[in-house]
Amino acid sequence: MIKNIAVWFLLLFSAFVFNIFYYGWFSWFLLVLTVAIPFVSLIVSLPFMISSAVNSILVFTHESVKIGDDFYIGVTGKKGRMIFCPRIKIKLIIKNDFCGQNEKQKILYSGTLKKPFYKKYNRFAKHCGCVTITAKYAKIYDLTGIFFIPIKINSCVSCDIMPKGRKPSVLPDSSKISVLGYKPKNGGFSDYYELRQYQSGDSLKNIHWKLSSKYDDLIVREPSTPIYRQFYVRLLFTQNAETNDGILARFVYVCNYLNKNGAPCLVFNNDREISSISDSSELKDFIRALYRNHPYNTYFADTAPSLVYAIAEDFEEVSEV
Amino acid sequence: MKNKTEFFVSSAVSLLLVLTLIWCFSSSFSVSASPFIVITSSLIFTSYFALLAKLVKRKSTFLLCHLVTAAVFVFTVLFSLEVLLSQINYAVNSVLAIYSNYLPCPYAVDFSSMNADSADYLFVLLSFLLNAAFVNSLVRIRKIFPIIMLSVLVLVPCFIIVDTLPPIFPLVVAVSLLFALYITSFVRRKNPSQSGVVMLSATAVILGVSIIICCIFPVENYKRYEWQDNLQHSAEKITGLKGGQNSDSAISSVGNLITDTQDLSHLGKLEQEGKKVMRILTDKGGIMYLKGVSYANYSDNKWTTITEEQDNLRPKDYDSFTMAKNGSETSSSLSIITENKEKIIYTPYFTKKIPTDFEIVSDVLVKNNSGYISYDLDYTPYSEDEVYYSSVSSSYYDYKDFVYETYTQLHEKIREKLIEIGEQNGIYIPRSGGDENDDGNLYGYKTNEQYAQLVKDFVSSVGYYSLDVEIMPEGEDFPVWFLTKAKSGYCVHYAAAAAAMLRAYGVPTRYVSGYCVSANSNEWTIVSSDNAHAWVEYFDDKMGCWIPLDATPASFVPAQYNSATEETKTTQNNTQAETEPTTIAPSSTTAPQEASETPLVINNNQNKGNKSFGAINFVLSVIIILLFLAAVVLIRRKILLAIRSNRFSKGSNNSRAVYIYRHIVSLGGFSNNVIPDEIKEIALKARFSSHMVSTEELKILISYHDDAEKELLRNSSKLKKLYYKFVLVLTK
Repeated sequence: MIKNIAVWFLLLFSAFVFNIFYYGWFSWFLLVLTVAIPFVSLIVSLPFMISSAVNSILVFTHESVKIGDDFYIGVTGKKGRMIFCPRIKIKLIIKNDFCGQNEKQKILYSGTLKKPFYKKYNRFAKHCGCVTITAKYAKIYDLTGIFFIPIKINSCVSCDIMPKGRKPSVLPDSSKISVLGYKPKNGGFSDYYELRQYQSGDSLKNIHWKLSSKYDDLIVREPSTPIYRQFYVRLLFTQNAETNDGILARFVYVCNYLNKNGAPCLVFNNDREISSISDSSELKDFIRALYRNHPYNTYFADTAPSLVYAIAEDFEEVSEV
Repeated sequence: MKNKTEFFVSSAVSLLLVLTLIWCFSSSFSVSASPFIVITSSLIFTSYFALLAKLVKRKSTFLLCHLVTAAVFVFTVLFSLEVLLSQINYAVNSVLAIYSNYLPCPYAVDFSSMNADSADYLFVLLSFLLNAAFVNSLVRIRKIFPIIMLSVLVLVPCFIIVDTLPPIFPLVVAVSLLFALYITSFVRRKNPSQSGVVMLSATAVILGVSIIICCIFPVENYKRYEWQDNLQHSAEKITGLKGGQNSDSAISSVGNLITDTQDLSHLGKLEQEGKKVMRILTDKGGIMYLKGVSYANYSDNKWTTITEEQDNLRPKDYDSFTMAKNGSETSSSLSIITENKEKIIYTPYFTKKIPTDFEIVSDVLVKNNSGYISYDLDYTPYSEDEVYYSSVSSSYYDYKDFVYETYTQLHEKIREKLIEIGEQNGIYIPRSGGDENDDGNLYGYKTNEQYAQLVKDFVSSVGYYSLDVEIMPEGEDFPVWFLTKAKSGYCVHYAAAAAAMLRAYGVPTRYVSGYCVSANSNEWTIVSSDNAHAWVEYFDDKMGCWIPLDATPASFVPAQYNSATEETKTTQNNTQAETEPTTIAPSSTTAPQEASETPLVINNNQNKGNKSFGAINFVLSVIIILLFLAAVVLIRRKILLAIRSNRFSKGSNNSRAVYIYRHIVSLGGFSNNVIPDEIKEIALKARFSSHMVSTEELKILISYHDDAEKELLRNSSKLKKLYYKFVLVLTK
C-alpha cells in the first residue's frame, strides 16, 4: 500500500537525518533497524502470504435482501484452512445497474481465513436492484503492508435487493376484479361444468343428481375456468432510483393484494412486455428478471374488459379499458 | 471477557513500555528512583486502567470513571505538591546539569524550598499518566499514534546531546516495542481477537533482530563513516543550519558548544549586555588577553579552526599553549572562577603548564574535560627581550614547518589586493635588487615582528572603533572591504583584517577569540561578556611561539565591570546571568565559544532586512510556513469534522435533524440541488413542531445528506473537491 510505503520512507528519512546529525551509536542502530524492518517482516510473513495465496479467496454475499436491511459481503478461504494472513486487500467492483450504482470498494483484512470475515455495506441495500460484486484480484501483503503477492480471484456474485411492500394511496377495487363468470372447459364438453366424483366437503348444491343416479355414484359438477376481469399493472419507472424504489414497493403491495384476492396480475412495464404473476414466488422471479432486464412469463392479453392500474412516481391511477 | 490474549498482551506491552521509557529517562540524566516503587506502581496502574478499559462498556460510565480517577490524581498532586515540586526540581536540575555543558541553558533552577535526592513520586505520577494513555490507546481505542507521540516526547530529551544516551537494554526494548506496535497496528484494528498472538510474535522477532544488530554493530565499535560527515556538511551548507555535534574540525571532541567558524559576512551592530562571565585574580595587573579559540583557515569571509587533515600534519609533541623562557623566570599566577561549567579554559600568554585535568585540543583550544569552574594557571608575563620556547618538546623546527604550511594560506587574489593596499600605505614586500638608495628599509627583508608592527599601525588607523557598524555588501571580501571602504569597525573587523594582511606578507598568523581584561593586581576582577575580544597571533621565528597582536585602535578600552550593574542584573535575571554569559554574550563578537555567535546572527538578521535574505532561507521559510498552514488546515478540518460527527450522532433527534438540515442547505448552496419537500418537512417538524422526529425520518435526512455530499464531490473538479474538503470542510 502506498500509504505504508510512504510512512516507511518517512521513518527511514527521519532515521537517516537523525543518523547524520546525531553522533551516538543509537542513531546507527535506529537506521539499521528501520531499514531491516520491512525485510524482516517480509521474511516472517512470506510463508503465511504464500499459503494464503495457495488457499485462495472466496467472496460471497446474500442471495437477496430486503431494501434497507443489513447488507454484508463475506470473504473466506476457499479451502478453509486455519492459516494466518498478515494483510489482504481485495478490490471489488460493486454494481447495481437498476439504480445506476457503480462503485469500487476494497476489503482489508488480517487474520485467519477459516471463519468468514464479513464487511457491512449497507449503502448498497438502499435501492432496489441486483447488486453484482466482481472481485478480480487480491493482494496479500506482509505485516508492514509494503510487499505483496497478487492473486487472481475472478469471482462474481450477485444479490437482489428486494422491495418492501408499501400501501399505495389508491388501491384497485376488488369488486371490479372479482370473478365475472365461468368459462366452459375447452374440449367440446357440453356443460359449463367439469364433472368429478364427490369428495367430502363438497356442497350438496353441486351434486349432479341426474348423472349420479345414472352412474350410481355421486357426481359433482364444478365450474371449469373462472372468468376474471383483466387487470394490468403498469409500472412507470423513472431515472431516479428512489422513485423506482417507491414504485416497486407499491407494486409489491398491489401484487400481494391481488393474489390474496385470488386475482392474477398482469404487468407491463415501460417496454410493454406483459407478464403474469399469480403468487409471491412468481413475483420474486418477475422482480429478479426486471432487475436483469430479462423477459419473464410473457403473456398476451385477450380482448376481455380490463382494468389498467398505473403506478407512477407519486400517484396511482386506475382506468377501465 | 472476549479477546483475553489481546487484553493481556496489550497490558503487558503498555507496562513494559512505560517502565523502559522511565528507565531510559532516569538513567540518561542520573535521576535516581526506587525501581521497586516504580515497578509496583506501574503494575497497579496498568491493571487498573486495563480493567477499566476492558470491562466498562458504556462510554459515559467509562468517562465518569476516568473523571473520578483524574480527580483523585489532582488531589494527590495537590496534597503532596511540595514533595512533587522538590522532586521535579531535582529531576530538572539533573537534566540541566548535563545540558548546560553543551547548550545555552541554565545549569540549575530553584523553584522549591525542599531538596529531593530521588524522584520516586515524580516517576510514579509519570507512570500513572503514561499508563493511562498507553493502556487506553491499546486496549480501548486500538490506536498507536498517542503511544508513539508520548514515547518520542519522553525519549527526545535523551537524544538532544550525545552524553545522555540511555542504557542499551531499555532503549532497545522500548524501540522494539514501538516498532512491534507499529507493524501490528493493522491486525489490531482489523482483527483484535488475533492481534495478541501476532503482537507477541512481532515483539519477539523485532527483539531478536535488534539483538542481532547490536551484535553486528556493537556500541563500543561504533564509528561514524566519512559519508555521514560529508552529508552533514552538505546539509549544513545547503540549509545554513548548524546541526550535529561537529564537523571535521580538530575541535570535534569538545562538543557542540564551541563553534569552529567565525563568519564575517554579516557582521552588524553589537549590543552590550554586560553579563558576568568569570572572575580572575592575578598578582600582576594590567591588560590581560585570555585566549579561547584560535582559527587557522580563512576563506569565503570565514575564519575556521584547523581541520583534522591539517592537524594530522602537526608535530604532536610540540605544544603551542605552554611556553617557557630562557633564563630566570618570574612567573605569575592566575586564578579563574567561571560562572558556568564551560567546555574550554581560557589561557593567558604565556602559560607555563596546563594542568593534567585539562586537555589541549590540537592547536586550537584547551578542553575542560571535567567541567571545572575554578582553576589556577601559572604564566610568564610576555617580554619582548626574552626568548621563549615550547616547554614540552624540542621539535620546534617541525612545528615551524607546519606553521608556515598551515597558517599562511590565503587566496591569491586577496593576497595581491592586500599587498597592493599595504604598499599604498608603506608596507612593502622585500625586493631583490630594490632601490635601496631610496630607502633600504622599505624593500628590505623584514622579520615577522616588523611586519606585525607595520600591519598593526596601518590597520588600527583604518576608520574608527565603533560597535555600530555597517554590514558588508554582498560579493565583497571582508579584509579588502574593511581596509578600503568601511568607516568603522570593532575588534573582529580589525583582527580579521590584520590577520589576513599579515598572511599576505607571508607571516604565519591566526585569528583568536577570547577575553581582554584590564586586571587589577591581587584583586578579583570581574570579566563580563562585554570583555569578549578578538585579536591576532603571529608566529615569531626567533622565539618559536605565538605572539598576540591587537590591531584594534587605541580607542578600544576593555570593559570594566560595574558591580552595581551586576547586582541589579543578578536580581532581575538571576539564572540567566549566572549560567549563560558566554553563550549569549552580545558584545562578544569573538567570544571564545559560540558566545558571540548567537547574538551576532540575531543582529545580522535584523540589520540585513530583505537585502541579502538568501534564496535557500527564503525557500525554507516558505516550506515551513506552508507546512505550518497545512498542519493548521488539517487540524481545523479534523476538529470541525469531529464536532459535526458529534452533532450528527448525539443529542435529541430534533436537534440532530436541524443540524443535519442546516448542513444539507449549505451543501445545496454549492451543488444547486433543490432540497426535496420531504426533507424540508422533516426539518420544519424538527424545528417548529413539538413532536419528536422519528429515527426513520432522521435516517432519511442522514441518507440524503450523505448522497448530497457524494454528489457534490462527484460533480466537482479536483480543485473544487480540495476546496470543499479542506477549506470549507463541507465533506468528509
